[in-house]
Amino acid sequence: MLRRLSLHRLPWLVLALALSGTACATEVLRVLSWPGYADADVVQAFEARTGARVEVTQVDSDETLWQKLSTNDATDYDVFAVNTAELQRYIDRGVAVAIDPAALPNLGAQLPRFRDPATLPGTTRDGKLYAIPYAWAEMGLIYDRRQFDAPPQSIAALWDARYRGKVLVYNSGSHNFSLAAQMLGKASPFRLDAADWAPAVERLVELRRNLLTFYAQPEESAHLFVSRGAALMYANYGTQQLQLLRAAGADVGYAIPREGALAWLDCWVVTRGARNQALALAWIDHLLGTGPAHVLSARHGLDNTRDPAPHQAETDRLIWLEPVEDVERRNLLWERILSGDRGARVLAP
Amino acid sequence: MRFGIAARLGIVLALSGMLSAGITAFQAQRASETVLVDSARAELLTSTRVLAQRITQVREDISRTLLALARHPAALAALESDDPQAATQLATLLALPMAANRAYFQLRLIGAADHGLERVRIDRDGDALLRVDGDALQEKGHYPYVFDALALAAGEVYMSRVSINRERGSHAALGRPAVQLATPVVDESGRPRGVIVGSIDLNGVFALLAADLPADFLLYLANSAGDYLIHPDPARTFGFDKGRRVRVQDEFPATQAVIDGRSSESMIDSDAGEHAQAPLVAAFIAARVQLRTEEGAFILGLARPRAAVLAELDPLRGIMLQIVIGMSLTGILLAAILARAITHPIEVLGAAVQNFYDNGQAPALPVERQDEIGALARRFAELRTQIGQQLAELEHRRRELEHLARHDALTGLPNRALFDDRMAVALASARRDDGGLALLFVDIDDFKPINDRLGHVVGDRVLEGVAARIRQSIRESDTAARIGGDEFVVLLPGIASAEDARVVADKIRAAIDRPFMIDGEELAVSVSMGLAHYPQDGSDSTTLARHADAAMYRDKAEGKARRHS
Repeated sequence: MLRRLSLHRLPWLVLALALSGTACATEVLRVLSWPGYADADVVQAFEARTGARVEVTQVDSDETLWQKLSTNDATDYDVFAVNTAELQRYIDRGVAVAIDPAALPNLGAQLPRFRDPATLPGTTRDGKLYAIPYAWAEMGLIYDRRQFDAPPQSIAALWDARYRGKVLVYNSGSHNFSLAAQMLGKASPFRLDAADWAPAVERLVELRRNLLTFYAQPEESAHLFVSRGAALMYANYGTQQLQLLRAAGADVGYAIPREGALAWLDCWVVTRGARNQALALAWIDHLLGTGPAHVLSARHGLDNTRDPAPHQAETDRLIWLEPVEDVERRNLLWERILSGDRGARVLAP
Repeated sequence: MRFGIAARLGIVLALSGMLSAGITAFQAQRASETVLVDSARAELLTSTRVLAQRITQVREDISRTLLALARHPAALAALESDDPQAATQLATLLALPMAANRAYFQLRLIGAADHGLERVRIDRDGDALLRVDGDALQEKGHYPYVFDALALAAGEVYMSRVSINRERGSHAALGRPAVQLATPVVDESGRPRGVIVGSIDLNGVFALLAADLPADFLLYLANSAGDYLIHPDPARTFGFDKGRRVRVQDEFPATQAVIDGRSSESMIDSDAGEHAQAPLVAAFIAARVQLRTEEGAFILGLARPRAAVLAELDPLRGIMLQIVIGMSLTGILLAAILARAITHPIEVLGAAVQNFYDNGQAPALPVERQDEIGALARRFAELRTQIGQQLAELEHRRRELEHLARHDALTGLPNRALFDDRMAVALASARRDDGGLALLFVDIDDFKPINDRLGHVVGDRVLEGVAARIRQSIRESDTAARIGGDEFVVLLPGIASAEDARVVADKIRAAIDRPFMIDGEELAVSVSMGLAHYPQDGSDSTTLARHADAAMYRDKAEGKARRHS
């Protein structure tokens, strides 16, 4: 015979459920992440260690990330990942809050270049630390060893007439104007002064005339490199393209030019709306540990901040991406250059 | 509420009729749906193939035009000399196909020299054709349609990937889905000097090709990786151009085999995922491009809403509904008739039972039927006949017994009991009518010696003969009875006078006095008689009987004296 729950016990049951629910809610960490940054096993290890529950929300574009964090006063998430260039507007808006380095024991195990705020523009402001470096990749030069006697030393190789029609460059206004700024010897590739636009355009038209074509996707670049017998490629996707080419049987090398390689750096940031800052910091410290760092490199082909990158020396110069002076102008001029406009027409109003 | 057998049987029969009609209609509809969807898919596949053939024809037409332009002396002349005349002549030639065919966004002659500088260029700009010249000409050497086409032999045609045209200054083509077809222009030594490039309006071509497709046909085109180029929802096309992939195999998983090259076509009944609410019937094929291209195959597909396919069933559904209703009504009618056919004989049998004895009122039994009802009716008729016969026999016996109880077994005359009854009735009647009656005693003289001498058999014959002669001598309304061994009595009602009674008595005596013939021998019998009259001799039967008896004994004595004298 069925035993029935007696009605007078029901209120107690509801109360108990409500209390247990409240207890659980205090232990939830809401993570806004990118693919590969919070894999299930990494999350489970954190949950086992802290007893908290982690809710991961994935984003796949800077726009989505901004939209999620600029609504509801950033109270929907506790912690998120963002690159250093994008980070600035989150600090401006007050979405990001300062982090106490003392709460992150694993910071001490990071490579020196990630420990020195001076070499990492953007992670600090007014002496306060806002972001913890986590994953990164640089944009080096990939070259065909059979067509190069020695690895290219400078981005000037992209303009070298000896490789005319055998050069591949990524189709991007922002990055290519940064490349031109580096050729012009500018202190910051992200700051073109008024007088710099004409020579920069001139450099990029010359670059256009020297190359085979522009690419957009890693697979496309590897296919073009092999099928058209290219000699040199500006690798926007870095070692990912190197791996693709080697998998395709190409005899290729990878070099960081002496002007420095542009690099993107994704950091973890705590939101203003974080319910439990200590838990958010524990999450960041967890990801800086050996396990998650290994997952990042071995499983997803991205560089972590603990282990030296395999294709570069510690002394190689990396230029972390920063917001450029005028994205729209760079893109407009770039579209004209890409379309084949000559000289003065590119700079026409 | 109570239902008779007829109502219950009718309901069951009507329901089973409706049910069978409904099931038949349902099954027929399902079978029709399967057939319709199958044929719709086959039709879509055929249409898709026809569409692919038309695309090939369009592409071949464009290729022929480009080849003709590339071979025209004006093309080489425009590349080799700086003479504006040569360029103008080619511009005139390029404008001809563009005027004739709106599929062209642009027709250009691009040189191999000067980083692929455009030499002659005609753009479509709204409804007009525009020659782009001078400083506005651009260097296109870094586009695959230039460097890949320059690598081709004369007579070969290159086709670019289908993409959103981002080339600034390209007028109508800017921001539109386009594909570039190109063929090299070679000099006398076979060296490529430039390319003729046609920029083709993808949507324009397909709008024209798909114009005669039925309105509810949905057109899909994807590149070899499955990225949508044409989709009923334009927002889902060229996702890769916006940084996110929108692919046919994500919407129609069954197309994966076509994209992988494992199959050349795929017929799909898509009712899951986003099509769960509005299922589609679709057919996709891989259309290979027989050109030098990076594009490989296109995935071309046509789909129709399943609801639109099944809408063709609507008239059939109407007919089926009519059939179901008709069959149901017929079922009800048949059920009523059948129920009546079964219950009517039962009612007849019932009535027959009710009117068992009244043969005239009972309806005729259906004995002529050759079924169970007929058998039952026959049994019942037999039973009724048997019982009727037995009852008739019983009645006969009863009458016989009653007759025996009130008549004399030997002579058939009423016995004393019946006579007393009649006497009482006649007396009552005479008193009421103030009439008269006579009572006549008749006694056979010397009967005992006859019996003793000639035997009981002869005695009995004598008694019979006397009774018969008395009966012949009296009126129908008179009653003669045997009240003792040789004693008879006759009641004569309505006799007014003693004279009348005497006449009757004389008539009886005369009848009996005639000799009796028994076993061929004559036998003389005489009787003594005594009369009593009402009301003169008595007013009750006992008194009358005593009087008559006395009279008879007097007569006997007189008669004995006469015979012995």
